[in-house]
Amino acid sequence: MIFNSIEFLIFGLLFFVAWPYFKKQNQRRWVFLTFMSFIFYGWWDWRFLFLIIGSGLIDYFCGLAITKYPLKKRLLLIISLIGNLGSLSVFKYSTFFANIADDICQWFNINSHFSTSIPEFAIILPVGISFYTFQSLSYTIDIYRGRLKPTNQIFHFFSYLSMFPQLVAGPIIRARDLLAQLQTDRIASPIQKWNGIKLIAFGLFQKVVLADNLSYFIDSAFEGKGNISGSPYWWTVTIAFAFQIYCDFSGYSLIARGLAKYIGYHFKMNFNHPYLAKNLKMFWERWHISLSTWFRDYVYIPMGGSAKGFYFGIVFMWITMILSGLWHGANYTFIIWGGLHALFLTIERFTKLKKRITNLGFGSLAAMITFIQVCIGWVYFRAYNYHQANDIIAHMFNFSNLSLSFISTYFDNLFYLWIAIIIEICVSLRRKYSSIYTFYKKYNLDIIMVALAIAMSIFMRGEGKQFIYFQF
Amino acid sequence: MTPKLKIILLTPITLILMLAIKLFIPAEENVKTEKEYLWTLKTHNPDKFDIIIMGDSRIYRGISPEYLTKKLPETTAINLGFSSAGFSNLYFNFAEKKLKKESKNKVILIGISPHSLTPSALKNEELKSYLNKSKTDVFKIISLANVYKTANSIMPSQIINNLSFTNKQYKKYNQEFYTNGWVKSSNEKPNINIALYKYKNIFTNNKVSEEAINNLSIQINKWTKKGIKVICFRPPSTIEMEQLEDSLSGYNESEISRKIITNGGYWININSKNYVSYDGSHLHYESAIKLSEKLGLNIKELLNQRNSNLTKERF
Repeated sequence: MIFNSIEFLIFGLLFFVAWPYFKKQNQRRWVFLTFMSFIFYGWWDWRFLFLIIGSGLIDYFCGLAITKYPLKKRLLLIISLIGNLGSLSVFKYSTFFANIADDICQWFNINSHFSTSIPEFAIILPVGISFYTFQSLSYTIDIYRGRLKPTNQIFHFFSYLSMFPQLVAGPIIRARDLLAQLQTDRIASPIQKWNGIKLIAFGLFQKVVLADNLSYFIDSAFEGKGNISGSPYWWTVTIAFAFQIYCDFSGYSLIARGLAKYIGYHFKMNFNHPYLAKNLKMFWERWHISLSTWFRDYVYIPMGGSAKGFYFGIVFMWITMILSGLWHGANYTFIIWGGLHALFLTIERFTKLKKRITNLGFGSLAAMITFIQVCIGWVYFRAYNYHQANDIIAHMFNFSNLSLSFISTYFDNLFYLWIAIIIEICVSLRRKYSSIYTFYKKYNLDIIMVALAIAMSIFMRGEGKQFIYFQF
Repeated sequence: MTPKLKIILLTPITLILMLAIKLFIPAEENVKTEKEYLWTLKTHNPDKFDIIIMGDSRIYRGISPEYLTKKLPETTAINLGFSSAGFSNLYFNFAEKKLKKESKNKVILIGISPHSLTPSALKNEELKSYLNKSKTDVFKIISLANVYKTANSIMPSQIINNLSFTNKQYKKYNQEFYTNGWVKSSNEKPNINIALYKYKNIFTNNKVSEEAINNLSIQINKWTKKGIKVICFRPPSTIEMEQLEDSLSGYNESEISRKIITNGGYWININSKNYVSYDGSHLHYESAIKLSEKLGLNIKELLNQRNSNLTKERF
C-alpha cells in the first residue's frame, strides 16, 4: 500500500477512526498497531509478512536471551546477525552474488549456472526489507551493548518493528527512541497535530507533484527513448534525478513523520535540505540521516572511526560508504556510487578545499561544487549499468553539442524542476534572513502553504509511481 | 492564530483554492487519464463485437468504428489498436476473444504498418501493460473514472496557455478519445516531417521480421477456416513516409499482400495521396473519417458477396 493511493486513504480513515479506542490501553494499542501495520505491509504481498515475523521473532527472543544469559550474549548476537543478514542476502543479494560467482568461473573457463539455479522466491525483493532488517538489527545490537533493556511484551516489540508509517521506506527508527514512546498513551497536542498535517501535506506535494512529474523526463532519458543528446541535456537529466530522488524519499519520510506526529509519536528528521550542504560531510549529515547515523553507530565507530588515526579513519570511511552503496542495491553501480562518495570525501579530508572556500565567504560556490559531486554520484545510482553511467558522464563533459531543444519538448516536466530549485533557494534565504521567517510566521503563511500543497497535490499530480526507496 | 484554528480553517481555505483553480483554469480533457480509462475499458470490457479492428497508433487514430459501420446496420465494431502494437499471438488471442461468437458477419480488420511487423512491436508492451492490470486496478480505474476526471491533473503549459492573452502557443495537439477505441486527432500546427526523423531511428536496428509475416499469415489462415473474414491494408500516412519505410524497414507490400491472399485473407489498396496526415504518420481526423467510411463500404461489399463465388483477391 502506498501513501498516495485510494487504498491508503481508506486504510488511514479506518485507522484514525479506531485509534482513539485502541490507544488508551498498552496491550490493545500494541496489538492494534501491529495488526494494522501487517495489513499495510501485507497489501503488497501477504506471504512476505512471514519474513518480518520470522526476523522479528529471532531478534525478540535473542534480545530477551542476551539479558538472561549474559555469558552467551556474543553467540546470541551472532544468531541475530545471521538471521537478519541471512534473509537480506537471500532475498536481496543472491542474484548479484550468483552473477559474480558465474563471472569468476567464466574467467577460469569453468561452466557454472549459479544465477539460473536461484529459486524463484529469492528473486523477488520484498518491499522495504533493508529498512526493517536494519531496524530490527539495531534492537539486538543495542541490547548486546547494554544500551537498551529488551521488552518482554511481544506486541510491544512488533508494534515498534512494523509501525506502518515508516515500515517500508524509513526513517530507520532506533528501538531506544520508539519503544519508550510506545509505552504510554500519547496525546497529540493541537500544535503536534498541525505540524503532523503540515508534514503530510508537504510530503505529498514533494512526492506527487515534484518527484512524479519529473519521472517521465528522467525515465525517457535513461531508457533511451528521448533520442536527444548533448551536455546540457544530460546535466539537466542528472539534476532532475537529483531532485526526483530527493523529493521522492524526503516526501515519504515527511508523510511518515507527519502520520506519527498526528498520533503523538516523534520520528527524527530524515532529510535536512541536503543540497544546501557546503561539503560532502555536511551532505551526509543531512541526507537519509537515519541511515547515515545507523552506519556511523553500528559500522564506522565500532571499527574504530577516526579515533584510530587519520588514515585508518579514511579506510573505515571507505568500507562504510561501500557498504552503504551495497545497502541501496545489489548492483555494481551502487558500489561505484558508494566508492565515488568515499573518493570525494577522501579528497575533501585531505584538501579541506571547500572549508577554505566557505571561510573566504564563497559558501554558495562550495555548495555548488558539492552538488555537482553528488550529481555525478547519482548518475551511477540511477543508471542500469556502469557502461551506461560512463557514457552519460562522457556526454555531460563533452561540450561539443550544446543543444537546448529538449526544453520545449519536456517543458511540462522541467517546470517542476524549476519549482523544486526555487523552493530550495527560498529555504536557503529563509535560513539566512530571519526577517523572512518572521514575516512568514507573523502572517500565518503556513496555512496558505499547506492549502496550496494539498490543492497542487490534487490538480498538478504526476503519473502515480511507487516510491523509489521501496526497492531498497 | 492558534494551531486548532489553523486546522479548522485549513479545509475551507483548501476548498476555496481548489474552486479557484477549477474556475480560472478551465477543465481540459487530460489525455493520460482519459486514455488510461478508455484503454482499460476496451481491454477488460466483456462486450463482444462483429468487427474487430487491429493495429497500432495509426489505426486507433485512423479508423473510427462509428463511421466504419455507418453503412452496416446492426453491426458493432471496436478499434483495438494499441501504441506500437505488433502482430503476435498475444494480440491475436486477445482480439479473437472480443469477437461475437454468434455473429454471422465476423470480420477482423487489420492495419499492417511496417513497424507492426518489427521485433520491437511484437513485444506489445502497451497491450501487455493493460492486460496485466490487476482486478483491483481495473476496478479502480473504471469505477473511479469520474473522480479522476474531476480532479484532472493540469499541465503547466495549460496554465500558461490560459494566462496568455496572445496566441495559444502551447496548445497544438488535439486528441478526443472515444469509447469505441478511436482517437480523433489533429494538430493546429501540422508538420509532416516530425515523424520522418523518428522513423529513421526506429528502423535502424529494427526491421520487418519475416517470422512475423509468416505468423500473421498462419493466423489469417486459422481465422478464415473458422469463418472469420480477415481484411488487411497498409494504413495510409504520407508518400514521403511510405518511401522511407519501404527503403529502411524491409516492408514489401506486394509480397505481404500476396501471402495474406494466399492464406484466405483480403487485401485493400489504400493510396496515401488521398489522405492528410498532421505529423507524417497519423491521419487528421477528417481523413480518418474518410478512410473509415471507405473501409466500411469495402466490408459491406464483401459481406454482400459472401455467397457468391468471389475469389480472394485484391479489392
